[in-house]
Amino acid sequence: MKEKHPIDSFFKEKLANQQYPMKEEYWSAAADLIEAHGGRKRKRFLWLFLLIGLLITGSTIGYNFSTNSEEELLALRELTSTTEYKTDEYVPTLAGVELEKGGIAVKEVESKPFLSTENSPESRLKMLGNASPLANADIQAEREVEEKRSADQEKINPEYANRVLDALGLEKPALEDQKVDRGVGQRTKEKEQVIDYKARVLDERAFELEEQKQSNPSFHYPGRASRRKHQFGLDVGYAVNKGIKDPTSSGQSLGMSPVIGISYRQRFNANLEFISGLRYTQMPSLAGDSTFTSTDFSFGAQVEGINIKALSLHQAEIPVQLAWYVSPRSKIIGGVYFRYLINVQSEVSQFESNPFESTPGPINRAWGYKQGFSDLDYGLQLGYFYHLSEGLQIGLETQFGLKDIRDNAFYRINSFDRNLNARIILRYHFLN
Amino acid sequence: MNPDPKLLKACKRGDRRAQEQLYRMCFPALMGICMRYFRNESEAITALNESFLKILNNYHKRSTSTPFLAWIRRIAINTAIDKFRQEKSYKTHIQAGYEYGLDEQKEAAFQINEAELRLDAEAIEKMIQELPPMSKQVFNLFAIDGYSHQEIGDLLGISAGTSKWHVSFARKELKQKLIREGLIIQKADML
Repeated sequence: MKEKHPIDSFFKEKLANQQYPMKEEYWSAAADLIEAHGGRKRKRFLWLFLLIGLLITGSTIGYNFSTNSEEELLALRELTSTTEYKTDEYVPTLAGVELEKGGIAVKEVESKPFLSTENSPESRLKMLGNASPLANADIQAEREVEEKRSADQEKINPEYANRVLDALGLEKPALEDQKVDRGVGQRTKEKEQVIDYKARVLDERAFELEEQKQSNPSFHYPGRASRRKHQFGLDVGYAVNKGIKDPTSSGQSLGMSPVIGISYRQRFNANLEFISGLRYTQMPSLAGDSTFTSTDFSFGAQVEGINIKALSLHQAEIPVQLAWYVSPRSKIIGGVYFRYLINVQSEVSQFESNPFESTPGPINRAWGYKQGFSDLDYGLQLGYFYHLSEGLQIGLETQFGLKDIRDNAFYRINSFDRNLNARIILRYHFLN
Repeated sequence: MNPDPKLLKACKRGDRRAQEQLYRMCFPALMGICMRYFRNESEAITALNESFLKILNNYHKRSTSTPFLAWIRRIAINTAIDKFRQEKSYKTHIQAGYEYGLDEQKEAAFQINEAELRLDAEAIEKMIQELPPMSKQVFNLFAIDGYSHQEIGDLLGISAGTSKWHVSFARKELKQKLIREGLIIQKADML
């Protein structure tokens, strides 16, 4: 080992014995520093909470603003468009108001080259649909609503008539004048007028979007949930579960259980998306039970035992799914799920018995008797979801387990205990 | 020195009394280091308190194989070096080293006159404080705290050769001071 230099050794030795008195002010300064550091930490969390709150609030407000209903859009257009034009296409007669060919003054948006007044509403809707899935989906939905409403109307509905007049910007006649029976042809024309008007409004919006799309190839159509690439959502639902089959009892029952969690989806293209998430769920109404006994043979056999019946399995679930859009609003899903057993709620009862009598003991509910159940479960799932609105979906899922939930060796049975359930899910996308 | 785990847990919970107890326990070791690396008591205390905060926040990360004293010493040294590197004149210190040249002169043999040695620790410490900043840090790290030249080079962003030069320079300066004080005898026959 290299010998230390005498200067080094000398200074090291001298300084090693150096003592410094501790003053109270030193500790006060240290305490202040610790306090300030703790305060900064708390403040950092406060900012984090505030940021999350702002994000949620902002996204909610943004979502609401970006999802104006068609009626709101129409109302907006009514207020902002003042250009008048004459049409010679329709000669509708409505509620006693004769509208002469070539003489109708209708408030309308400014005509765009994209529009074609020569086509029928149906063909124009098709054209719009090809140009913009956004317009197509909305018009399709509106058409369904209008058709249903129209089919229910045997007589003139004043509300409906007013809507048509509002849409056309015509003066409303007196209420008694509206009681006019009309033929099927007239009603169809009126319906077409409404659709036509709305189509033109949406047409203009679609035109704007098309212009943006052409100027910017990476532009995504706004407005529809299905157009967004990444989304987070809240899943809430209820499941009907098949209970575990137990060969020693009649126990096989259906049980209800909640499903709650968060979901994430990523859109790959117009038709395909990936969905995953984390959910909490239960598997209730388990028919099986297990008995643990000890026998005393001292004088007359006496059996003391404890009977444990699992009531519900509490599980965390991760779905991994792919969804395929079969229409702009509906999709079918398929994939796998993984479940982890968090805990088991059981009914625990004690008993004593001898050759002469059997004495039941107290019955309690208890947690933690996970023995005999698989920690991990996995299986397949299929489902169907429908977009009620941009942010809200409703769906039906069913799951088929591929693994026995119970350990047959532990329960000394040979049964086919697989998860099987159907659930209805509401999914709300709150964060994009 | 190995503090009671209960004391450390109480410190982690934010128990001020426990923290004060630990502070008093660590103070001698930390203060000895900080006073060597900084020019005055105020700077030393600031660095000491920052080191103590790091000790409180990082105790759970400490390897159980590392003795507590060695661990807190290393934290204090690292804190001191960090602060030194943050100084605006840090680069100047590095450059200043080259002005002296890196030729290490062969030192004359000498013997410390222990009999005449009456200097107290404060005077010894003052001698070190009077060294140029970079030489002081390097000498502290090498001679007192046992770092290698390579480690010092990594810590201070200098080469191992430069570190050697600073140690040599510091020794020469300190030797001159001790000679001036009449505390060492130069061996004439070895000159």
